[in-house]
Amino acid sequence: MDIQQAAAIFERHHLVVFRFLRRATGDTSSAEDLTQDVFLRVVRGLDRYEDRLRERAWVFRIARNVLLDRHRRIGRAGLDLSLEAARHVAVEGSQASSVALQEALDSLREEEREAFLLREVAGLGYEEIGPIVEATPDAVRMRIYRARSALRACLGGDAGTGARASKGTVR
Amino acid sequence: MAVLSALVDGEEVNDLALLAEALSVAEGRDAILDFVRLRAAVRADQSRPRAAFYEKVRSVLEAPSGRSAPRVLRRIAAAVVLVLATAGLVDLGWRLRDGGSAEQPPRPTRVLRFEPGVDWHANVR
Repeated sequence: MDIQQAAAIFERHHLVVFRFLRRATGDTSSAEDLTQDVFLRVVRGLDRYEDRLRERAWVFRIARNVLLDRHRRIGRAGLDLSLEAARHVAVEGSQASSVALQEALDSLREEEREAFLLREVAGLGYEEIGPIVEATPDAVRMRIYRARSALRACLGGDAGTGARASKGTVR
Repeated sequence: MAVLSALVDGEEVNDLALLAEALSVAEGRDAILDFVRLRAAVRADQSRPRAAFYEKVRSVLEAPSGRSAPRVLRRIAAAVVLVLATAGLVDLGWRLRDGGSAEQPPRPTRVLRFEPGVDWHANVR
């Protein structure tokens, strides 16, 4: 195992992985713990990893697995973001208005939230997200679209006010 | 509106008629604006892990490589000791079986007996 190589991968991806997990869990401490787990698995899997062109997708596949393991460990009930946790994330981010966004994200179905976050936070394309979430690119396209529609409705009440509400409240 | 969502993502849009239809209505154009705003809102998160996280990660990430070398060396050393101990015990066993002295000739492992008149004859040429 090349520790320098692992350190370089950590440098390149840890912030995005942390933000992805923070949005997915709604909790900074959990996101830190999970991010640590992700890169521990990255280090362990480094010798077997060959497709360097898809490094980011590989890292996020691990991140998603770590997230799923957490789901299995603590159960869905433990994942439900409390208002307090949402506020915690928002205040730490110095953006009180992002409480609404975090709550809206938490209201999404799991498969829609993860596809949306892999697209918007990780910046992955549909073709890259598909294998990670075990779905076809078309399914990913629909999940992301449904997530966006739900977020608009959640943040604005309906499609029309969604635009206006997001101007004022979503940052 | 799914086609607009894909458009915002820079994904391939094959059905241009559907795209044109979606863009022709105000709702479609509003949707694009909202999708872009949502992206900006999500990506506005510039949070970073706390300092303690980095210290913990450093120790955890460096631990496997830091401990692996001594662990391998310990295993190799243990294997060498085991081989040497086994060889020593075997050698000691041989010595004890041979009477405890290395100067004595080894005991025969097989004894061949020849009886005169049976196995050999003195007058036969």
